[in-house]
Amino acid sequence: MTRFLIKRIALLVPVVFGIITATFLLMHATPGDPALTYLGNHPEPAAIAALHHQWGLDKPVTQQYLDFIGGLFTGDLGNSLFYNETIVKLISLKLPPTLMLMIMGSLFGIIFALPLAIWTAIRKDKFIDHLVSLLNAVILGMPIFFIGAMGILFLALKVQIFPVGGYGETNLQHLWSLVLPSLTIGLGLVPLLVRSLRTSVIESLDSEYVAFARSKGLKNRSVWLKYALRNGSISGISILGIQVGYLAGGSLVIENVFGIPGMGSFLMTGILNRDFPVIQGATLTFAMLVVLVYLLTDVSYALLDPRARFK
Amino acid sequence: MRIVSKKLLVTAVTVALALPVSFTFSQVASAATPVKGGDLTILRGDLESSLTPSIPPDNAGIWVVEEIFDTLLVPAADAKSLKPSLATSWSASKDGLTWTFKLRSGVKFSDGTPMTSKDVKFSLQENSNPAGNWGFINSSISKIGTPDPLTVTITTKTPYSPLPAVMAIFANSIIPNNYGGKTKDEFGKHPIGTGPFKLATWTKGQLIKIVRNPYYWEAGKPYLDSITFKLVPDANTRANQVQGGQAQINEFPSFSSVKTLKNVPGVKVTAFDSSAVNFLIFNNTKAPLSDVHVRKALASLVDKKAIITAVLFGNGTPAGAYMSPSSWSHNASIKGLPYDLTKAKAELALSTQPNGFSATIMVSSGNADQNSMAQILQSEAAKIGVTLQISQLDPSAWTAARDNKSYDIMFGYDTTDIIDPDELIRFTGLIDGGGSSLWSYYDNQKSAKLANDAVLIDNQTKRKAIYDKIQVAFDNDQPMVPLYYAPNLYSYSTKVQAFHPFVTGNYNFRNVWLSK
Amino acid sequence: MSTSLSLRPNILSRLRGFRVNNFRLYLGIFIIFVVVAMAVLASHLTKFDPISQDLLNTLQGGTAEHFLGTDNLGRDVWSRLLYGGRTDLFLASIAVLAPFVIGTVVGAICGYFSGWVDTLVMRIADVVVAFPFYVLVISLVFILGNGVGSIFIAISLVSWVAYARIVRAETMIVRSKEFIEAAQTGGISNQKIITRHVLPNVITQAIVYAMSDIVLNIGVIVTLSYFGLGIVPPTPDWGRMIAEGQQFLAGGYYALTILPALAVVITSLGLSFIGDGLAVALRVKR
Repeated sequence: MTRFLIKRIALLVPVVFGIITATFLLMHATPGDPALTYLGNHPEPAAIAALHHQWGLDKPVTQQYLDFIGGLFTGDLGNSLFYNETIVKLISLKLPPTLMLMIMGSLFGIIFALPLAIWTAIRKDKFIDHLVSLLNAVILGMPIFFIGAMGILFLALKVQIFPVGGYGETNLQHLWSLVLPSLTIGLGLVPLLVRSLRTSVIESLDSEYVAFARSKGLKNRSVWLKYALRNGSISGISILGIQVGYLAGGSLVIENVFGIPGMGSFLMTGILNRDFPVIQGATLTFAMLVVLVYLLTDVSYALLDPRARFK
Repeated sequence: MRIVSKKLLVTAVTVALALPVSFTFSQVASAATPVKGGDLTILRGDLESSLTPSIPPDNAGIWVVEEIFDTLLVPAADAKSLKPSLATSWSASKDGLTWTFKLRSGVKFSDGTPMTSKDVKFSLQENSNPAGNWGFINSSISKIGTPDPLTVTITTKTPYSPLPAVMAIFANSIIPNNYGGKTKDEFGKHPIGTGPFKLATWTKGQLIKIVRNPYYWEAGKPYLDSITFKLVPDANTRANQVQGGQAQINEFPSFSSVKTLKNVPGVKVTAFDSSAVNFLIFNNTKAPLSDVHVRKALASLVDKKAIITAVLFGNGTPAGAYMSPSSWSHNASIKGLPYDLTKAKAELALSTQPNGFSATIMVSSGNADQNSMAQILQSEAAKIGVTLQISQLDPSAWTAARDNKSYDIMFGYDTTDIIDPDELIRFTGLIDGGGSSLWSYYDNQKSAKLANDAVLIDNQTKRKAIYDKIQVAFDNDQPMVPLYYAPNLYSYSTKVQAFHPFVTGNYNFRNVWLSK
Repeated sequence: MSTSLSLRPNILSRLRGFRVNNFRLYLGIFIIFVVVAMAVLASHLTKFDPISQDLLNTLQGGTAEHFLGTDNLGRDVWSRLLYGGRTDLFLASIAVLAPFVIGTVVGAICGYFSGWVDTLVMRIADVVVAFPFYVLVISLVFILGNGVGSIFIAISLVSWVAYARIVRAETMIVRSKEFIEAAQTGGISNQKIITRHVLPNVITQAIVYAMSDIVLNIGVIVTLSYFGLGIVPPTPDWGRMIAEGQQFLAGGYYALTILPALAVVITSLGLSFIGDGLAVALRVKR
């Protein structure tokens, strides 16, 4: 296991390095001049020069790159242009709601998707299978902000079950205000999960374990419950892991629809603020988060299924 | 009749003393009794710049300052007269040069230290710095005296009639002498005043929370435990949160929501009398908008009536002069430029850009009304070959672009904070009037001189004649287009009681309470 | 489902297995045909300019003149739906082409040759995939500036990876087949083998994926304009329509929001059906 971990982390090094480089390129090597985006139409040349100096854009690119990496190693991502705070401090405030939203979103996703996947796997090619796949296609085609807006309209305004947005003040309020947003993300996740889970349940039903259990005379129901659920959740972990990109993108959109002060609204405010250090920091954090989840997925998969370690 | 009523009064008081129960009963019958307690959340779309009285040029800051601090006098609800506040009485000397203010006794700051005439003197001096945003408002003051702890005398260079009105502006709020021993910056972060509320938390760009000041001088007030001012840029989200009960007041509902919220239970929309004038503002320092013909061309493209119908849903009147009709200084003969495509083309042909140009119109993201108006203007401008790009900015970026002159065109509005027109004549019309001509950076030195002359005259008719001239000059230059005079719109929960913002904008939250 | 690739040498022979009763495929093709026809023929289906405003006739319900009513600036909703579809569909389809071509070529080369090129490209792919799609596209569009070109570049920079990975995996399987080995020993150039023998075998996967990729693109384009990025007024677009309609939801003007959303859903549904149908018809594993 230790060897597996070391190997896996070693493989990660070039990717992390690449992410850092890509984030750097995003701000420093794109065709547009960030100073122009920041200052708007026809700015004074002096103002452009001042901004270039402030951001260190007047130094050679290699020097900028080294400074950026040096900053990262010392935990310095610069300062926000609008809030008198360091990016690192701001991110530490904005990350918890996003993580919570992603966790609750995936829980809801699993809660909806697993029964549906098992049901459709058992009744493969029957009516319910087709119906679920049609519904999946409908949800897949719905922009997630629209699902969120409808959720607010019907579950928060018409029937006032949930708060319409915001994040509350106490921990309990935080949790409660994340329910509707997480439901939205969970719902958006369902088509992606059901499709893969259904396949893996069908495969495991056809597998030798189940054949063996059947030959032992186990009743059908307990066979499904035990093996289908167990195998389903193991593959569920890896499938969820793969979908972390969707979760992160979804929370970016949903946080803005519901006004949750997390990384997603941080990035969007950064964009509307023309706050480049914020955009850079938020993008980097999102990417690191995804890589970390990939790693955790691999590790937990390896723990659950030892064969995976030798692949 | 008089005598009889006096007798009756005596009887009534006796009965009340004897039977307190029936007294309370009669109060409930007339209007609900204010209930103490409760936390109120008010949602806003604009970012505050500062909470130090002498600084903020923006309503987002001013309206909070007015809750944390008190002024010597306050405007009456209709902005036509003045009422006592920290000063209980005031009078002018015969020569009109010296004003004497008697201070209320027993007033304490929110940290428990008593307020004296020394604090008043320091406060007025702090705000008299000509380099400050609001220094111009005190420019007539030559000397401030403190004969005793509860008396302040103010001497002016020449007889200056608006002085009492000026003592009611938030910028002349009373702060502790020497900032209570702190630096100005420190004080700015932890302000202390004598107002009904004191600052509890302030996260810039997110929220300001103020809580009851236990030392507040008016017995029994305020009723509310706390007020939270939350920045929620999206108009739609603000409307939803008030409707969903998460907030009680929407400081800036879009006009479209007046129509939509009418049938929603638990929420009401009220249009309060206001001094607000809304403008389409040009950055007068930026080519080609620095060209008066270009500005007039664009001004001729604005169909004010159509905007009022389509965007305001009829809640407003087309604007001509830049001073509000709520002020006596309003020049009713100015009608502004009519909507006229031919005239617009003709003006453009006279300009430096006869073949059109492109510019950016900056809107605060989530401001539905500004967004609609920007699209209307974009569509009209295209007809004369002018390309307008709409750029959505977060409130803080919007404010920054406004302050460092980097925008082209934007929308904005002004409201008066005092009952005298002097404030807005300067704030919106003059470069050094605290707001850089409402951030249009329009500079008219002739008008500046006229405005200085006007305040030396103690005759309203004569002053009005001067203000009329300034407004005509403004109309000729069109540094910005006065769009409409609109009421102050608020949507709020029906639980909010006694909420009645003044024409001058003051919320007077000390009177507001929440019913169960 | 699991017999992903037979030994059939090219796409034509696979099409012989095309099932006639593939209902989804035909339904999908029908939906997309109608949607595309409406977008293309927009100018013949309405007499109103989608951006011309009529400020004195705003927020009308369906009338004889405007049969889906007008929006808050008096613009004809039906015209805006048609022209909005033109904007979104055109952009989404165009934005599929470049990634499709780049991804397929890169994937085939990597899968066929392996070696350091493969390692390098796949590490780059890992890096791109680490950025959540929406996060990267939204940031890129912002930095490149609003506009159709920026959306196109941003999506292309991100989504070639998916094609490259799919095609690479398939190519690696195909490469080990006998007919490829036969061709190699027969002295046929690598370039010829790739274009004549590898690509026809692996491209079906990419085509099937392209259908869901267009759905993804429509989603991200609509989301961008919903947040005021990318497509900006006056260009009509479904996302912007939803965003602007939302302020009137509470007042009961549901159509302004629901209609454009419905248009997005129906279009995506059609594309999903085509994707599913193609997968069945071409016996591609999904």
